Amino acid sequence: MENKRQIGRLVKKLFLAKQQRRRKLARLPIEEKMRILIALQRMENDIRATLGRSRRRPWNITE
Amino acid sequence: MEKTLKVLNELEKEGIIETYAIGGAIAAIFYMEPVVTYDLDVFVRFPAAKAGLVTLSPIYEYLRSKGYKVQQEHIMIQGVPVQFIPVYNALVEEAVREATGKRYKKTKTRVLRAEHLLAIMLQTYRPKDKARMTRFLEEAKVDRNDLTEILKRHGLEKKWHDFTRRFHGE
Repeated sequence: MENKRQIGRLVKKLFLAKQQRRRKLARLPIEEKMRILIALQRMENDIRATLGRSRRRPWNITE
Repeated sequence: MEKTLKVLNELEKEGIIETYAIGGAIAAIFYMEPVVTYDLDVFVRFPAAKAGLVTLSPIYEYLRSKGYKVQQEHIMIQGVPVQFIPVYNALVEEAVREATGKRYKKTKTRVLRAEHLLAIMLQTYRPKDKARMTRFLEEAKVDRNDLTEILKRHGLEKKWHDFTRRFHGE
């Protein structure tokens, strides 16, 4: 029983930390967010290729 | 991205469009954690004289003359696939009119306000809109009074009520 409670508390803490991280990311400057977006596009594109799905071209910007 | 925005501003300056505002996922990213997207959705209003005949041809012709290529429903502008969408109803019209000025590096641009973005997601209500709305509400700063007024003006109160009850247990 105590084990379950401890796990419950831990999971709650983890979800809270995730939420806080997302809120922190939401406050980043837009230029930094765009850098993250392009990294995400590249990652997703690699996954699509691995799965044999049609690829989408990540943005070709150098800024 | 900055070069793309400069081209959008040029369209406005040249009178090809009256004004524009960034919408869709990129607009959402201005307010929340980045999510994967490949399109830059740009809502456009045309000058009053041309408003009778809503067609994207003037934009495409102008951009083609500058060497930008059309790819399916997008036009590639400085490495970014841009989709132009004419304002198509009263809510989007208002959203573009009241869009907020933002800066990307040194370039000015216009982005839909968080409250209008939410209202448009609610109106469109595809599965991805529902998912995005939930996260948006967690991460973005939303003026609830302003949102309520927008929802009232555009007959979206009941839909909003249903959404919040279903997804947030409010």
